[in-house]
Amino acid sequence: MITPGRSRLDWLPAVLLRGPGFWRRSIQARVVVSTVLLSAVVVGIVGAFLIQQTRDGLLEHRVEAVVTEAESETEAARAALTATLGVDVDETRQRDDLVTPIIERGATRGFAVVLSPPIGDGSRLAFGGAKFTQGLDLSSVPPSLEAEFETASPTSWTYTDIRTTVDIPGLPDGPGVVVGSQVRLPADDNTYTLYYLYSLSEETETLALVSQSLLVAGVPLLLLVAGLTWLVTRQVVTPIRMARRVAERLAAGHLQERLRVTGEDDLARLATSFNQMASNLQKQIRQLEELSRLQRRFVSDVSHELRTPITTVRMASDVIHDARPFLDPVTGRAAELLQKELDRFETLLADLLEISRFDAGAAVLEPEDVDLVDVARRVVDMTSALAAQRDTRVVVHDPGEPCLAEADVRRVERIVRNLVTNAIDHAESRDVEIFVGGEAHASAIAVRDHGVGLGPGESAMVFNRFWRADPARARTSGGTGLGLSISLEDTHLHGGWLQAWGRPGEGAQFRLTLPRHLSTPLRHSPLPLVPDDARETV
Amino acid sequence: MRVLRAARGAGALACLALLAGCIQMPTSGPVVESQVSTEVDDAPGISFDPRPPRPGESVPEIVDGFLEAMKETPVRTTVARQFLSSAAQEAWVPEQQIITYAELGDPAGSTSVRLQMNDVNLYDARGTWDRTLPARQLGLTLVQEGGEWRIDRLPDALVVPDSWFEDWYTRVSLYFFDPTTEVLVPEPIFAPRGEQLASALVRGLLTPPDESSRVSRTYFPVGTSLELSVPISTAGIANVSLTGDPDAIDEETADRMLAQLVWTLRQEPRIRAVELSVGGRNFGSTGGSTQVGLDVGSEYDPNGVRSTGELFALDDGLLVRGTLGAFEETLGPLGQVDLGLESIGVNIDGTRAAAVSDDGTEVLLGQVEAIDSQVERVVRGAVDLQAPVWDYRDRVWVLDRNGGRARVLLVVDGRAREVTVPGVSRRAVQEILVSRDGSRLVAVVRGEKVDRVLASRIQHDDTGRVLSLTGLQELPLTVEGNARIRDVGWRSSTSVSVLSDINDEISQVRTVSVDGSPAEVVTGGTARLRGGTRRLVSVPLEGSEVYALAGRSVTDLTRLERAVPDLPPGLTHLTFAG
Repeated sequence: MITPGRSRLDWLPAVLLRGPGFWRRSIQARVVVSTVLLSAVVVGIVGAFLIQQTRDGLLEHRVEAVVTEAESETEAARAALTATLGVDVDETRQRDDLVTPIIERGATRGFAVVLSPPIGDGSRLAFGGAKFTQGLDLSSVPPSLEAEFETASPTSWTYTDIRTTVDIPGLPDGPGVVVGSQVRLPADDNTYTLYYLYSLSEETETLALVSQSLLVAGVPLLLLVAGLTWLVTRQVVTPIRMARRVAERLAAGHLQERLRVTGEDDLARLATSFNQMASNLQKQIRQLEELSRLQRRFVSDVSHELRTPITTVRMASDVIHDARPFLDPVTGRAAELLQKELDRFETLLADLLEISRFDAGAAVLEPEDVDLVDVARRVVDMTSALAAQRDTRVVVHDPGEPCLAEADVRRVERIVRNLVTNAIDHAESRDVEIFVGGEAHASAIAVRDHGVGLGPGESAMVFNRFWRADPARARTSGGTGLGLSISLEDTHLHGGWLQAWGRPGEGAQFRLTLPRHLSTPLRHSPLPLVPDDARETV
Repeated sequence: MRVLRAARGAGALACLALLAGCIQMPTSGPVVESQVSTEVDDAPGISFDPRPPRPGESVPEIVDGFLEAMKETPVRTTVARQFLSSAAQEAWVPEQQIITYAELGDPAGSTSVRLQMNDVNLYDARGTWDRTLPARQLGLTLVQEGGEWRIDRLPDALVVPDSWFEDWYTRVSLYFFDPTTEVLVPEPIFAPRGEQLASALVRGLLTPPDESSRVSRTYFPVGTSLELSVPISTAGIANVSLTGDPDAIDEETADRMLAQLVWTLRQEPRIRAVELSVGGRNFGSTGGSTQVGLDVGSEYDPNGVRSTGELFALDDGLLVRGTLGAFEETLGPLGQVDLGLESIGVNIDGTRAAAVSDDGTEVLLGQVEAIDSQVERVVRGAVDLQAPVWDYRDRVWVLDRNGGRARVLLVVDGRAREVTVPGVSRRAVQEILVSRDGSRLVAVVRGEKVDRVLASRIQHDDTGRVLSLTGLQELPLTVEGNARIRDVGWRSSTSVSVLSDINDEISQVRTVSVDGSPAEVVTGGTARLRGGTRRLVSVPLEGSEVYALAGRSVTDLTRLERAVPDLPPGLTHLTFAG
């Protein structure tokens, strides 16, 4: 069935759809991803460190160069000012003559120049009066540097963000270094500050190139790490996966499965040990199987061997029983007892033979569609005598519709009868209820009593052969102790479930669930295992 | 799984990119002081820092303060300007003129102050000595500005005492070309000493000479001016940046500009090389270097290109050459044939000689070393010829004393003609000198009691023909003892040494500049001599010896301690070339 939702998800990779499960199950994926992540972090940190170092080196070199150049410019300016004629008093012309050649040199060498107004009167470049390279935005000179040069100061520099109003060749907008130094103009005896602005664009480009190279080198490195890790983990994980598969097959009963051993490394030794363990297990299991087979054979043989004498004894007993009116009362009583115990003995023998058949795998189903409601009614009828004897009422809760299952009616009847008889046995004169339920894939029948109930852990043991809840208690109904075991075997023969619930003092409930068709596996039972009246106390 | 890995890889990449992105060039940071810088305030070499005007100063105090402030050193007028009214501060152009005085009177007048100055010398904007006045009035008008007296009207000049001027200004020369562009002609000026010297030299050079004087010309195009100054780097490179149109300068002009510049700037001893740029374009040597060495323009040497430092003399009437104590005969006719010579003059490279016959009436020209050459008789019938002198064009200048009516004869290409020298011709002239560059003539004129030394400029046309002589200037000589002048000789291309007697025993040598400016030129040699010195033997070459002759004994004026051998018997008329 295709729903719109699924079709939308179809394109997603299975990893994402099954993500967490896949992540949990695949060591290889975890190792590869962890290694790649870790490598990425290490490469990132190393790369960042390298870039940082490169940047610092570039900056140091550039700053040294520009400060030297700026100082030589200022020195030249000072020398030129010292050499001016002292009688020349036109400070405007002197400032022009001072700064124009520097601006021209700056245009060819790629720096901008600002000549401030005279220092000392608190004026800023922004207030006007500065002479500077055309196109430069005066806010490129940081206020901190301006503040530094409000009084006479030695050459200083700082970083800045160069801004231009018109493109200046060789001086793009962006990070830069600004160097300031001061000169004294002989014409008016005032001190002026010269700012030189140098771009860091070349260093930025170099850094970008280094970063790019690192990135270009880092990606293949990571891919290489991923590939290597995948290869290494595959070498480790593949044998483990094989071991897992073999172990699964061993667990599934294929005891002859073995790992292939190649080489002499740790994995090979692991495989050898695994194989040894498997061999030992196989040997033990075979021994046990053999022992079990012998045991079953013995039981079967004993049962068969007992049938002939018991038949003879039975016929003799029948004769004695029939002659009872002619016997004295004591002997007659003995004849009755003999007859009764012979009945039990024959039942036990029949059960044993039945069990032996199951053990030998000789049980055969004769399936047909069975309505579990009918089965329940028939069983109630069959056990009405016993119920009456125990002063117990057996109630069938009819769902009002047939609850069909493909089953061997004889065996199902035997199961239900066993359950009902068992319930009557333990009902302590209270009602026994039978619930029947059915749905598309399964039908179920539950038998509820309100007797002594089952102790903790006993609900699993009730199906053991000859198990008894209270060993001191007598078998009043004359059960052989094999009934529930046979019922369980019958249920398994159908591919169904037989489960028990019980609580001390609150009675017990046994539920039989059968698939609607023999071939379909059971997923769900139409009836709850825990009865409704007990659930709220949980 | 591949997809998962790809996703993680992308994540790692993003992480890397983020890390890389975090590391960018800084755009702000702390202000860092440079380690190697020098403080801006240590202005070196301030020798006199005058006191600026103080509140409430009276008129005489302001005037005194102003005159004192003009003596600021190194030369500048920053403080002096503070004594002026704001209008006068704008209008005052002190670089127009320099007025020096020996003595200054007291200020007279209330707001219009007059001061009497004595022994006044005037120098023009370039620093050329203009004239000397015995006395002059200095007029200053004062006004009150903001309650303070300030000078409002004053001459556009730097007014300073003589002594200060001598201390802070030095005698240097500007080099221009003569009209033929064959040789450089020095023009003496005064320029501030120290750091400003180079700037003052270049600014002076850029002030064009009076072309109509036909004495000198410049190759700096009209309109070029000095940008800020001429800084000299520690390596000794003078950077001359001029404004002007670089396209107006062709290679030839540039070469000549460089020649003028190098010859002028080499007087600043710190300079080792010169860089010239006009309008931002460099004009370097033909090799492509922007710097030119001090050897550039040597072909325009005002003292002649291949001048020889040898001595020449007559040994028993035959021309000999060599050094003191080691004379050798010459191979030319003058050195081989006894032609009865009285005096000689040898041209600048020492290849030709002009000789005066022993009767003083004829001038003979001959090769010094050419064996088979002929002697040419270029002047005949003169009266009393002085020893001939040569200039760089191999022209011979001869003075015919002519018994008090002197004639100056010029021999060009073997032909002699008389040249009229105003103030010299037809006078009692003792001796003439002509500078090697052919631009100056110095004459010793006899007076009744006092002999005078006069300097005149020789005018040429641009083919080198002598047009006339002009601008007669008497050179200042302080009279001491006997005012008779024994001899004169070139000490440099702009100065002459004058030998005169103080008394019979002691003679003195004084060196003066040919521009007529006062004060002696400091030569560093001896000024006084004992024992009847009669002649000076000198040459205008730097570092050359100057000999004073008394009979046969010789004294080296530049190094008195040097033992100089007496002249050998028979050796007469010792002379250098030129």
